[in-house]
Amino acid sequence: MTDLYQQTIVDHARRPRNFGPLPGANRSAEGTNPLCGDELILRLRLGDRIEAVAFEGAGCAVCLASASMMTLAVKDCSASEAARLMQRVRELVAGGNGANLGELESLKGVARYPARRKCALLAWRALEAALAGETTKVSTEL
Amino acid sequence: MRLLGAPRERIGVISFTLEGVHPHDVGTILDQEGIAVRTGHLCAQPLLKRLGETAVVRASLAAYSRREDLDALAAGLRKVRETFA
Repeated sequence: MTDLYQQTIVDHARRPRNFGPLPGANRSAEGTNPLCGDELILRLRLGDRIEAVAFEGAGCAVCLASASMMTLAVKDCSASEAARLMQRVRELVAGGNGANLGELESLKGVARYPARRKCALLAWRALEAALAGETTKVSTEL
Repeated sequence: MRLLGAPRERIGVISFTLEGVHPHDVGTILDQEGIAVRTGHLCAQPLLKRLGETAVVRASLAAYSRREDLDALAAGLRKVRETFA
């Protein structure tokens, strides 16, 4: 019925992958979207590459699905590969081309809902902070 | 569906949640059906915390709301259910 709530998004929102604590995590970041009330915490086990990634939190379907798909997409990526992927997703939800992004392409519909872009990007902002070793909570409003 | 508050007399402002669907997703789908509601914490975070919710949907009805408007809201909520079934 709508290009926002595609089956992929609904499925990831209902059954988020890599949802829960992460034993042996050595990086983490908290993200909040104060206008929505969405909150999540992202944990990484980072070596030369992202060896493992998991998140916990509460949010709308777009927020949870984006976080869930992100954990699948960035596993085994280097920090710079993850940063490039994040840039692609930013462009995608701003109306750009999502070619070769796999399941993440399902976020394309977010481009038509400017108010929901922050929902889609919260987990990615947290990833950016975790990779950079930032310790302050990231907010979509800053 | 959870209706918030149980006043003895109620005006046409009704806040609610649907189990398993975030209020912002409810709001977006209703919007696509041409129904305007407010969603989120309604700038009332302490009250919502007390009620055990982080976000709600709020329908505001008034003297000019018609029976058809309510039927449209009900149909829209069924659509929400279908989307997240």
